[in-house]
Amino acid sequence: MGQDKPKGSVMVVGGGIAGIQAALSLAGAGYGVHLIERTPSLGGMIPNLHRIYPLCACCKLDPRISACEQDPNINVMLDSTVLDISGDTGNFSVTVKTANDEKTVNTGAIILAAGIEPFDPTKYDTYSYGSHPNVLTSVEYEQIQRPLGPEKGILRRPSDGHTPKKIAWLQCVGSRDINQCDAPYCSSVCCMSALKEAVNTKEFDEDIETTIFYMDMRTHGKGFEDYLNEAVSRDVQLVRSRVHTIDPVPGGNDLEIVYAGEDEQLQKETFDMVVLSVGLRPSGEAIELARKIGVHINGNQFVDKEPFKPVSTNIPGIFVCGGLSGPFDIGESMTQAAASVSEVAAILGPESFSPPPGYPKPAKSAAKSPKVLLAYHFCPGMAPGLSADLEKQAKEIPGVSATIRVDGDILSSITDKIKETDANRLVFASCTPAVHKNLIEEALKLAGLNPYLYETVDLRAIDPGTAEVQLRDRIRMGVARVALITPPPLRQIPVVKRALVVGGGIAGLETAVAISREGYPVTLVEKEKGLGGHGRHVKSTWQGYDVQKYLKGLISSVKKEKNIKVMTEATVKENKGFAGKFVSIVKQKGKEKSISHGVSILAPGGNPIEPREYLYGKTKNVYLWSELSEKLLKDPKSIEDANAGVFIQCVGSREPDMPHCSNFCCSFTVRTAVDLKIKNPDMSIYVLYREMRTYGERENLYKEARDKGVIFIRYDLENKPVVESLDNEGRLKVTVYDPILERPVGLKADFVSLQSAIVGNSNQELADIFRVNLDRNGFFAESPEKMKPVDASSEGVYLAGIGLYPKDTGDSITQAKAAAARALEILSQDKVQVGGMVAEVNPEKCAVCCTCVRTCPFSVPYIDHETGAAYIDPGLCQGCGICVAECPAKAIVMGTCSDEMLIEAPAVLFA
Amino acid sequence: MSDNFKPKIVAFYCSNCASSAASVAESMNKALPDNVKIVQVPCTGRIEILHLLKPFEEGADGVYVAGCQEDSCQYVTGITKAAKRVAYVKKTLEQLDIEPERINIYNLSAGKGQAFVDVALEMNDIVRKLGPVLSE
Repeated sequence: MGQDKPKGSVMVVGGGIAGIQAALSLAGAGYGVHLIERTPSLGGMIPNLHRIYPLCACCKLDPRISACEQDPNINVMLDSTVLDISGDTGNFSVTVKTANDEKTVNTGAIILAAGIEPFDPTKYDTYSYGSHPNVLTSVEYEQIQRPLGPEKGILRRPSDGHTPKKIAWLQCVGSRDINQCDAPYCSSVCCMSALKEAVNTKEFDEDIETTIFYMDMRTHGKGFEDYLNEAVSRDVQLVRSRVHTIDPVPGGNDLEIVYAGEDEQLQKETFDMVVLSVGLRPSGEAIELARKIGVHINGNQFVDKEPFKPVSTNIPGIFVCGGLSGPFDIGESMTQAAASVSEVAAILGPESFSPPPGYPKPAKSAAKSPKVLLAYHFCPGMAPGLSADLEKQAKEIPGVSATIRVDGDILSSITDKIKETDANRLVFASCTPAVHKNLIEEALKLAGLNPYLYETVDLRAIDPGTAEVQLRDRIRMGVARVALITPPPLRQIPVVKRALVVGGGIAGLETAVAISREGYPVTLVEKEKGLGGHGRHVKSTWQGYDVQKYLKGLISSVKKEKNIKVMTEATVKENKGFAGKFVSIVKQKGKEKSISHGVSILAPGGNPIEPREYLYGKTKNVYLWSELSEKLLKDPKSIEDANAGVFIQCVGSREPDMPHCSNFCCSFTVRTAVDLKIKNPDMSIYVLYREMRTYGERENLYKEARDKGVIFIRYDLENKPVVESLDNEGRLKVTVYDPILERPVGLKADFVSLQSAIVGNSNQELADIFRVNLDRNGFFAESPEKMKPVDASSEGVYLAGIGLYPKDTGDSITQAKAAAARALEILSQDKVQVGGMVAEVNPEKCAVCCTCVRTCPFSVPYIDHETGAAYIDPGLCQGCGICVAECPAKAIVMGTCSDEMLIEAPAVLFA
Repeated sequence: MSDNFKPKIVAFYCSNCASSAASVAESMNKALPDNVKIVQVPCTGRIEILHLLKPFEEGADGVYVAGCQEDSCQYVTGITKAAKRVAYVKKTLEQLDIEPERINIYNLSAGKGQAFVDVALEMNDIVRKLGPVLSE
């Protein structure tokens, strides 16, 4: 297991979400971590935000912060900055300036995770920012929206305290602009945050008019397009334009926006408030430090990195994640944080500050009479009177021995309170108890109780008018049920130290490599004959790096690695088990083979759909984009020598039948167009698009394409382009309505490339086999626990590549490395705990009728001939309780949802 | 029936789809009526006939089960089994001269979160029209 690697601790510079995530994963993997934060508190940007798309997830940050603070293996240094770094892998020496002194910290590897700073729009003298109180930045606006912020979430305009009637958002303030702010790139997150702010404004007051002035609406991420459609259906107005000036209206507090619409005519509209969607800048101090120690910085002032090594800097042993290396959103930053942990593991063995925490031996709590602690947690935005109501009800319900309101550090508040009050059961009330389950179980373990001695109470969908009655019913139910729980027996099961990777494309291969180099065997299952997946058709990344060369190297390193067993022409037929111990049946060339593994990684990839329009398949020279890409690899001259080419974007995509945006088609097109223009500057290239989504640093490429003379024409869904065949030679004519000229234009073309929607490969089939959920667009859904971007909805199953959402090569590699890091967290453990919320057979009552064997949807029970009774493996049982209900002899019990609980329920509710 | 009759209703909710649906309902500011009392189960397949009859014995005027869509039950057959049991209880109620409409089963999904509350209101309406059990 990498015996020649040096050992050491790791330093993470920057205590935002990326840094926090990296520190926690590293500590989980056995490293001691120095977490350095410039400000007096951890959290970075997120505490300033109101809600994180798609749902309120701010409550996910606090537990992470407290976990960092409490972990003996994380040394949090606040108010501290790094002055200098010297040395190399395994032996870095870092000078840190703390609040009082300067010290030297020795560490084995470094992750630069200092994130972003919002752009300061003061320098735009035409936007009245700084001189007019009703012009705010998006960050300032979210502060107002936060229920726990200074305005308590009450939206008033700063000048006079009135509720605004009309609010405007201005996009690209400090982005896509080289004239005034030297930031040619797109900040990538602001379209979504403006939509989110507008929708949340509508939530506050449906009558407030919200208008977003934008150039291209860039909702390119997973689920983003759905959110855009939802915003439009809620009457958020979108105006494609360039804003000229924002001027105060004389004699009042209003603001007049002067803008040029798509027809280039100047128009005016008056608003009560204007929000400037400010762009992202990498943290200035951190970039200075990076420059000082010799880390390469790119033209956009971000840390430079290669797409094939997405979290590495040019200095070995120093990695980078999050906003310092590009304008990334929270999900991307967290994925990169996880990926950087996998990269650290590749070069450095873990050295911890202290051994992992132990749990006290669970007491025999069942013997004692129930003493219930009622803990409750309120999300921002919940009715303010609820707390008092709840406390009042708790006093009147027999059996509740103590109550506690938890906030921030939920884990230790509950643990301490249980110990203090000697409680032996817990009722936990919150808005979404499902997301707190892990935390609750951990708290019970730390308090020395069986981790399943709890019930949750859901505080959602309560009518404020009758809150008292509803709270009473729900809490009474929780308390009655928790008293009836028999503590379920728990077992420790050894972890099977093998990973199963499904999919032999770039994502699957990278995951396999990252896991195997830590010494764990990997079985890689690919349904096709060869490895490489869709990557085999890709010429270059959007940055222009040669994908074929990289892929060849990757495939050969997979083939050389003894620890990786590649099975081609193979598919997974069946999967059973749980995180730590899965069994899969893999079918290869007619033969079935059973494989035991501790984790599963799903990376099945995806493909563009076959277009049903634009003469595709009916005439030559109309290519699907993957076909064009392949042609450029095998017979480039045939395309490069053309006189004219047309690229049509969003083919069968972003339409009611297939609403998602396929993310990287715009970048593919501009990359290809630029390459063709370099080879043949005389070629006429037209790009017909609906929104140009060259997000992030891809924007530079879009600019380059325009500079090279590529012509971009926007079309609407109502006015799609028309492709006609001109002759038998394959000459084509494309007619498109040009919104600027306000008339149709005919374009002659030698080839047309159709950038059609990308969909997952066999996602539904794999979701059924591995018991994970899909999202509404048919891609794998992330864990409902949120802020776990590569975790599937079932534990021990991780996701990478296009199956999760369309993405380019670099992003697939990042996810692959992140998925590997998550998988390693399980593989590096020796044992997992099973049992808990499962069914158990009482062999004395069992009549061996086989009803359970026949009814279990997962085929778990079997007849154990030694005991002469049915047996249910607690590790495999999914805990549905169907067999408990079916068993005619009532021989199967489920301690956490017993007959007694369900039979007593009505009496409790009607008492 | 008298307008101020407030039926007692017990609802068995599955903790998977119903929990996601509750999130959506909450975000839409939809609230459950206070006379609908919830009992959570890991899966609707856990519910037995006795569990469905017991509320009537304790004075409920209506009972319903809210689970997943038939094709997307996390536990595959849970909701199908629950539907069979509800159908059985309908017959039992008929034999007891109680209107079978007093028990129902609904399929929820996270995508149609408002249904979390809408089915409660629908059931409330049905039972209100029927009046209390054995009111004659």
